Amino acid sequence: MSEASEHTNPKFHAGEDPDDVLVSKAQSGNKDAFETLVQRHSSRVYARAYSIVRDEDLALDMAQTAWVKAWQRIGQFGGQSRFSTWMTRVTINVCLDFLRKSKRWRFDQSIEAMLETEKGPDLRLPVVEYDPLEGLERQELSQLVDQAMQALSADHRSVLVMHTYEQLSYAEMAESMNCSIGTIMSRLFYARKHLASILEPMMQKRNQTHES
Amino acid sequence: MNHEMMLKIQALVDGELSRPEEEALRREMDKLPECGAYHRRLLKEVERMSEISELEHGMPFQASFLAQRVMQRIHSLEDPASVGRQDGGFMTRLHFLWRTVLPVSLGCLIALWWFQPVNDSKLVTDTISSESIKSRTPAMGYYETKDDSMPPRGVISFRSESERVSVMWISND
Repeated sequence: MSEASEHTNPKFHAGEDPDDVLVSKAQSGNKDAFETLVQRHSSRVYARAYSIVRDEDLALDMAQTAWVKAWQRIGQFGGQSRFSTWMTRVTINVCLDFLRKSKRWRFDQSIEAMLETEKGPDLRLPVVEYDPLEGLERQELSQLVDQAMQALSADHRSVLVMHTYEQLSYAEMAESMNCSIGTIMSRLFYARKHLASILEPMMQKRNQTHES
Repeated sequence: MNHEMMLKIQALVDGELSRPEEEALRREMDKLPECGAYHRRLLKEVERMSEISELEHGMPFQASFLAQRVMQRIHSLEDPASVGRQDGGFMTRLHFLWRTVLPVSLGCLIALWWFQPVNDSKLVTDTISSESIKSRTPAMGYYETKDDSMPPRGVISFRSESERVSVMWISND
């Protein structure tokens, strides 16, 4: 494990095995080492699952499934990226698989299909001609964006999370979501537009409160 | 500015374009002022989004709780019987049901289905002797069997395949 990754991992303490040591032990079948990894990265995995599914019970279920999948595929982890990054990708894929199979995804897709085929997003979503994030403190901004994310559809939220917080490329997102790069570009476009349209009334409300 | 142009500008902001693609787009953008304005606005928006840190959603439970549940699931995948022991026998009973009761029930169902036509034919021949059957014609959902071996009476029996009932009518004529 690199020094940087040890720094970024708050649960890593001196004297404990670093991730790469635990990973190689887990790859040779050591379940105790894997359990240590689960304990160390569980909050990050849960947070990522929650950011996509937005439900505590579901997020717990997704996190568990992701860890089980990680155990089954730990042999495929080659160490090109940090273990936490790899684990986050596994979690995202588990969540996307779930959404794809569930009704939520089909519902979202039908909305998306309607918007895209009728070329109607410009008509349905208000054109935001200002910077919706201007004049906000970081913490306040984080909270507002988080609330707005909650109101987004699952697929729009997923692309935004993957792109903004995980810095995945279009190609990586397309692979995860099992679709074309063109679809990803389109989803990201509508997701941003939708996010801005949700943030607009929130900003107005906030400004009114501040003025009064 | 059309939709395709907006997507191209978005790709530029996201750093997804190759050098030649970027140069071609910039040349195109120079000709259209609204594209430049859109590019600047999107760039600012994306930069602000990248500056903020994601709101951390903490786990409503201990990390050890999740680890314990994960390890239980992993153990159950590799050794299903061990989970039954850990769960106070419920899973063992479930395992027993799965391994024994279910296949036996399935076997019984298959046997019933297999022997059903044999029983049906028996039922028909038991009711009316084969020698006395003059005609046995399939009709809409039943067999019509006529027997006039006992003159002057005539026997007509109906057997409905769908309802699984037999009706016998003996005439005095």
